[in-house]
Amino acid sequence: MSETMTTSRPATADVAERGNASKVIDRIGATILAIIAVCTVLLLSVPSLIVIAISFTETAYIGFPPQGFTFQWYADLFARDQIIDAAVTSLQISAATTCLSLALAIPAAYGLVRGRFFGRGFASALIVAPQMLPGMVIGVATLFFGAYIAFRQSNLMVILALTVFCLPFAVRMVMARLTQLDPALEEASLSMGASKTRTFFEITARQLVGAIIAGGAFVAIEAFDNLTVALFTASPRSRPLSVELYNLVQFDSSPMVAALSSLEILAAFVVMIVLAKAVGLDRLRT
Amino acid sequence: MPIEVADINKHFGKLHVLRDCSLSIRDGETITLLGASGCGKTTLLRCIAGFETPSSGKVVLGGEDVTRLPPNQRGVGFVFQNYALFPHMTVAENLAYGLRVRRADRSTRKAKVEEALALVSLTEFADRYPQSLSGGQQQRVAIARALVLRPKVLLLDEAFNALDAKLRVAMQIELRKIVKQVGITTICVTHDQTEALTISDRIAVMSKGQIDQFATPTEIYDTPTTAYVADFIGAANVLPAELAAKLPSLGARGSREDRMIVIRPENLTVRPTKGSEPLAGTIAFARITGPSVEYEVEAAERKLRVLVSRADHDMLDIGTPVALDVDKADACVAVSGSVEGSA
Ligand SMILES: Nc1ncnc2c1ncn2[C@@H]1O[C@H](COP(=O)(O)OP(=O)(O)OP(=O)(O)O)[C@@H](O)[C@H]1O
Ligand SMILES: [Mg+2]
Repeated sequence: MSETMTTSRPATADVAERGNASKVIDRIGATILAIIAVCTVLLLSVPSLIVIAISFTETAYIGFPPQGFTFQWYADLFARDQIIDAAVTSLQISAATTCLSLALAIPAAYGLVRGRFFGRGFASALIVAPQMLPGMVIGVATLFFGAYIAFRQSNLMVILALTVFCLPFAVRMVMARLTQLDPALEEASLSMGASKTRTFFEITARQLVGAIIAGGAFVAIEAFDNLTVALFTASPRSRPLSVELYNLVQFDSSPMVAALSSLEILAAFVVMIVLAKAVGLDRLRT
Repeated sequence: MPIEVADINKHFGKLHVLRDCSLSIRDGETITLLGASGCGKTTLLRCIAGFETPSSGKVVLGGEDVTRLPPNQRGVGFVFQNYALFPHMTVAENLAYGLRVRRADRSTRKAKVEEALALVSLTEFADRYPQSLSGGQQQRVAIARALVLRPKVLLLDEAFNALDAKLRVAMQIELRKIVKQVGITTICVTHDQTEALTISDRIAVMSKGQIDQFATPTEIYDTPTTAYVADFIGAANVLPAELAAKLPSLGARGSREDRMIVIRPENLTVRPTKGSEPLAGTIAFARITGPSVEYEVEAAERKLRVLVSRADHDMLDIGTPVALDVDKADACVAVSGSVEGSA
């Protein structure tokens, strides 16, 4: 008895000492982490906050710091038919691109993850490749190819080019979720007599909802404010908002531009909040 | 429904996972696939269920060749090693899924689901989601989900491994009752030899993708055909024939060259000795297991296990020189093959 007591005492003291040392290290680590986190959040949000601040300035040109406070630029914005039309065009393009991308991405991802065929790895690489290309390349390529087959710049051309541009995001998100998904779920459904189609809709698709919504949201936002692709593929007669905004900045330094940007920031923010509430933030990861 | 597995081979790329596996299972029979991890048990089950297509060979269910039939047309129930419960459905919805597929009406579904839940004692968990259940509870849901459809063939891949000993026995008894009552032909996979001995009509012992022996538990225990089977089921001393021949009562019976002799520990005897015996050793370890005493005897550079009844035997100390012999020469079996590191 007494023997074990004497041997155990220095041992506990040692553990306690090491415990204190590691606590200090833990605390320093946590502090550094907190500082980095705060810096990152500032770095990401300050540009947006500056734009929003400028949009309320009373001066007739963009400048920082803003002076006074007015809603005038917002009122101007809504008074311009050109901008309202462009916003509607952008919404249409965004909706169509999202639907088209998802309609292609879901089956493609399923085939790439679950399929057993020759060249699967190659197909996988190919489908994700446009993500590596700058949007401008895709825009120019579409324009030239369109000219070759006598297909003119139009909303349809923007939608098709943007789908090529956005598809990899959507495919990747659905693939990421599918890879985590236990194939035994589908096998269990089959063994209970369900057809492959029924299994897909009742079992697989239900597990993909989060990834589909998240992928759809990213495509929708990207398609709404993409400039590089739209610049080359949009018809001059019906310009999407991004192109309109680009022209506006080139010829005008009115704070209206900041007002428009602020509204876009707000819209993206609302979409993300709604998404996070609907499917949970952790589901938005890929 | 009788199951016929004929000469199945399965390759995964270069890996030859199943080698000429054949099983002929009678209607209503319960058999167990037993074997070391990675020997191909799951793969064989998956071939029968239709999740894998064998590279060659046939699967025949109730006289119909189903080798090319997709799993959803085979009517085979499957309980997965990792449960595979649908996470977006409650326990009750998981159970009702197969019934919905079969277009059972609402009241039938409700009744059957309740019955199946009661069977696995999970009635109060009907509205919970699988993620909120313990491993053992999830496993019971998986079993109930397969049973509720009353399949003609039921395949269970280690369906009891997450249950504690008491629950396991209770579930095995329940399962056996239903299986007999409904006449379900059942194939179980397990690592647990006691489970195999208690629940099966016949056992198929697999090693490295081959079926070594397919026979009743008694036959497997009493007359194993390979050293691997002998070693895997129960404890066994596997000795080369020329060494076994030195046991006085066995003598010439064990002299078939190039074979191994299986001697169960309860069939070996020890007695203290002073003189030189043909097969002598020393007690290396002794352990009392209830009514018997188990020895580890070092003889001829190997360790032999001996189990003797304490009633007619004075316990021997460690280090005692002993002479070895067998009790019943008839109970020693000659087998082919060898076992590395067998006790
Ligand atoms: N889809 C697959 N692709 C490649 N190899 C596989 C595949 N499935 C199984 N194998 C291999 O086949 C062999 C047998 O696997 P199997 O799952 O049938 O073993 P098991 O007997 O069920 O083992 P355990 O008792 O550990 O579950 C293993 O070596 C495994 O690595
Ligand atoms: Mg297995």
